[in-house]
Amino acid sequence: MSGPAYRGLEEEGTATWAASMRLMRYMLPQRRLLTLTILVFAVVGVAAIGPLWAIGHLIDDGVRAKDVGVVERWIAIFVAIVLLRGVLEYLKIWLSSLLGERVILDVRTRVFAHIHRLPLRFFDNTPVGTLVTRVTSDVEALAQMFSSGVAAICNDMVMLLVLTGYLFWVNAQLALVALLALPVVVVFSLWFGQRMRTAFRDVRGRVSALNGFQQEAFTGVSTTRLFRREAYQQEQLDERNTGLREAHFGTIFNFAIFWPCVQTFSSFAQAGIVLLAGRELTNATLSIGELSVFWVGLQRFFDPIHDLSDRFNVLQAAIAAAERIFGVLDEEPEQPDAPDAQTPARLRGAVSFEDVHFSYLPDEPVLRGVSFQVKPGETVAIVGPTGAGKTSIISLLARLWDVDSGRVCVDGIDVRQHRRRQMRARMAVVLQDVFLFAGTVADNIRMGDESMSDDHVRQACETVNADGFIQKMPGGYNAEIRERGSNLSVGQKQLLAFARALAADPDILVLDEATSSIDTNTEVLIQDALKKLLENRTAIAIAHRLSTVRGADRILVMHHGRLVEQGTHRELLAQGGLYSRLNQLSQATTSGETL
Amino acid sequence: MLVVSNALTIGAMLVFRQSLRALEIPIQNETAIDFGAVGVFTALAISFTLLAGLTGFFKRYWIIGTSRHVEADLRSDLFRHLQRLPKTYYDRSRTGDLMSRATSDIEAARMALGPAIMYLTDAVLKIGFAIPALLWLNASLTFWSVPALAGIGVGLLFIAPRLHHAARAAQDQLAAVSARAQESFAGVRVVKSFATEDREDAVMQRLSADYLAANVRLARMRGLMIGWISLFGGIAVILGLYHGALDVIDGRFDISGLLTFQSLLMALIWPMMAFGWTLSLVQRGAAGLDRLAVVFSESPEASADGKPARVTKGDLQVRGLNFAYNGQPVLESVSFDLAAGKTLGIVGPTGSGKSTLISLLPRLYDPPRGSILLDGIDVCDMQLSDLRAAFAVVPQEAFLFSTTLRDNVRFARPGADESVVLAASEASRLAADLDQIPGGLDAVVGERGVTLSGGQRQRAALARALAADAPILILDDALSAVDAETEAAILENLERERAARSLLIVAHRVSAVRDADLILYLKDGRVHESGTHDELVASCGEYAELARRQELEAQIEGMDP
Repeated sequence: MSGPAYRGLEEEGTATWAASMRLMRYMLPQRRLLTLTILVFAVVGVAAIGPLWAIGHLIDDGVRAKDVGVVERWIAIFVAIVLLRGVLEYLKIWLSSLLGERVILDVRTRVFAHIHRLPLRFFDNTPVGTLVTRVTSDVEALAQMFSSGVAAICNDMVMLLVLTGYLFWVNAQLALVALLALPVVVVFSLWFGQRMRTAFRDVRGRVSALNGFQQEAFTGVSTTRLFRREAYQQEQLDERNTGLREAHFGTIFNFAIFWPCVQTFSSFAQAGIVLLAGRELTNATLSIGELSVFWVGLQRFFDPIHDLSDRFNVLQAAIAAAERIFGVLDEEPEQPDAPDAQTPARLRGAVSFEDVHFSYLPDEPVLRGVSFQVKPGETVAIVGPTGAGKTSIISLLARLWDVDSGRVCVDGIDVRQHRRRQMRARMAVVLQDVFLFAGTVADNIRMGDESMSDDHVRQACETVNADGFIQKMPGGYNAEIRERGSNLSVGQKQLLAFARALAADPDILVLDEATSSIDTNTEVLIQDALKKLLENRTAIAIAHRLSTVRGADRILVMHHGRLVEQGTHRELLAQGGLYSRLNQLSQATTSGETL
Repeated sequence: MLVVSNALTIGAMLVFRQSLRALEIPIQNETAIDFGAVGVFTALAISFTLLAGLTGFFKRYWIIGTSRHVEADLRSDLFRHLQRLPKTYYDRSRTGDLMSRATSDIEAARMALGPAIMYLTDAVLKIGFAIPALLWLNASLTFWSVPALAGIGVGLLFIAPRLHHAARAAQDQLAAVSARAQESFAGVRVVKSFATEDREDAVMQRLSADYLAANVRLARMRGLMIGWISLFGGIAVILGLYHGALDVIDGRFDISGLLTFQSLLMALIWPMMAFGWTLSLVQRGAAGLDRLAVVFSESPEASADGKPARVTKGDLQVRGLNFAYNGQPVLESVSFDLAAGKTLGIVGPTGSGKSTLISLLPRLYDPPRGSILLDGIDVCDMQLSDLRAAFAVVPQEAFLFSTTLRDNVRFARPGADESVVLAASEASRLAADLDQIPGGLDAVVGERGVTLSGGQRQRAALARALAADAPILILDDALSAVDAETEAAILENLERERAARSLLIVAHRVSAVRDADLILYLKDGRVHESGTHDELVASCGEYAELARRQELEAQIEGMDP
């Protein structure tokens, strides 16, 4: 993810342009709202000269002419302008936020959906935290761009143009003098904007370094303590802390000097006007009212210029975020289903591996030519020492990964010719490490399938002996499961995973049995549940329990990526090969129940 | 500085008015303009502005600078305090919570202590100067306009807390989005296996829509605030203009005064806003300070209460040690001796209390009095720093800091010279891998650095402990990720230096403890079996079974396919 930061300037320029264009496409669906928002911003910009216009006429036509009626008329107009402005300011903020948020909702949903469809290889190489950042803070930066970037720039531009135009129209000579300072202020603002950016970048870098340090210090507090390095750590913190404070002073300096400077420029412009106005007033080429217009107008002239520099900051940050987001969107998703792919509503449940070779990393083969067949309704147990390639068989069958060579077939059709999601939906995979989502017990069984009835959920749980402990939980099936199921025991999580698989009523059950030791009572429940779960359907189990192995119709013995033996428990024992050694090993344990 | 800056700002306005007036009155009376007077007033106004700008710069620099000092001091104090809190505190706090104390709560406190109070003072001063100026310009106009301005402050008192509330709601929604994304990505295997991508997307869509709603509510609240300010500011200006215009017509006021009056009103808008705004900042800051106060009220480890005692030999005696954690007994009457220069092995199933035992020795948890003695002194009577200097622990999870490998190795002795580092890396067999790690000892490790394998991390942690050169070396299942051959080599290295230090090895693998002078087999917090390897194997207990099983396992792993 560090790539884009080191690209050359030129390349960055084109990439920025490309990213901006791509962003525009996301705005298209909102074009009506966009038009309306820009319109409101433009009106706000134009309305900014309203007060000037009213004051000028009020003074010349009303006050100077001593006509109370005219004064009241212009006051009434002023009231209308103020009311309109109040409403428009409200609308402006509301609409721009609505626009930004709608675009962002679309982007966020797309990015999220896309990430889910990326191959597992991608997840193995990308920390979850980075992915979360893509759908949170990066998307937030984009929202900023829409809510206080694009439309606000329109607003400021319109305001500047209209104000300049109006001042020139009122009195070109005075306007020229007043606006002499303009280029200086623009250059000055841009220069300060640049300085501020540099200062802020420095601060941000230091903040994240400081936070990283603190996070690490909290996590490693025991180590610090055991080696008595508390004072050292404190020194380290203070060094970073002081550095950050100094960096803050950089931004404070820039912040503190900006407004006084702008005020000074503005007062020079005021002085210029006063000095010039004397002659113009005497020659009657300028009225007191017009002078007032300039006087009041100058006070609000420099605001939009200052804002502009801020807005460009926001835009830059947003483009950078957009590039990171597009980086994810450009990742190749899992290979799409073949156009002629189809998966029947139910599978018969025949599985075959034909000379399958597979590796996660090049040159490190995990499966080296594995072939076997599983008949519909058959229960097959896969055994073998760690690293034999057992888990890979499951991953290939569920098409979480694709083979390097050979074929994996379900119902005689290559899995790559199946419709991936339909096929997975007909298979239930129970992984060793049970992953529970935050939510209720029932939610975790349903896995989001709202059409599943409460009865069905309960029945599944009863069958796999999970009903008992669920009923004892506060709230029963509506009990909240904490993050990662931290309020459940390992055995209970296992039973829930079984219930989840059973409730899905799969045609093929794939099971990676957990090795973790479980108390005897739960163990009995689990063995019983497994028996029911495997009944009447094709089942492939990476087995660690002797009972599961013995209950299987056939046993496949894997070693170093090859299928070395297969047969029934009795046959394999008689062979006296690897299986009999493994069996001996399990006999040597006290419980005698894990393999 | 605050006083001068505000006085000058208001003063500049009044002087500018005089120069306008020098233009206006002659025009009104159709006499010649006194350009000299105009020039003098203008020059005076400019110099006032320049001075106001200069003092304004120092004002801002001082106000915000002070708050940054406060922030830095607060953070440093918090860190110092957290460093000294007992392990039990860390056991029950999540790092995320500690981080939010150290970041957002400190920030909230800074805003309240710094900007809020300073801006409030600034606002009061500005109002204090502007109101007399307004009264001096035109008293009756002041009574018309200023109450309308006060409407801004009153409105913000009402809006600011709601704005803050809406912001919190949006933050919470964002947290929900983020948590769901985190979970969904972490559980991607399950999501894919059950083909529930669409449902995940739907949940995300719903959460995002809620977030959208919360954000739009926040924006409307902000719009309401800005609209309100603009409205009441406008009303004040209009009231001033109307009555001012009538006064000018009646000859009681002049146009330059009217314009200056408007400028003063505009200058008052910000101080009026500041009242409402700072109030909500102070509330937030108070909440942050409350949470910080809770942390500060936690009592730190008792560190300085013991007698200074330099441990020279390292004779360790454990006598009938009982320990309960959260009401659950973890260790029950554990006793053993580890004489200087000897090796003790501890094995046992997960949850048997091995790691807790290790944590009690250097008093990461406080053991009961009289149950652990070091060189004959009760560890409870020793100063923490002296006690901990006696142990070098290699923990179960090798935690390395984000710095160079070298600095990690000499963590306990930052000044240690290269020979110490090299000897430690050699003995821990870290040296054997150094040429595979880009940068070698200078490689930066940890979160943002080079990724080390589990075995390399464990060996680096071992090197760190060896470099500490303490009388007692503790390996808490510290070689689990190291292959059998390397493990044997490391143990041999340690054996050679055994005269110099005692060794306490906690392990799952029998191979790591088989040469120990004494082996304890812990089960359910009790010493279930004890003796040498040969004695334990001969007694055919659980240790013997474990040993047999692991031997078979090793045979199978080594089998040729």
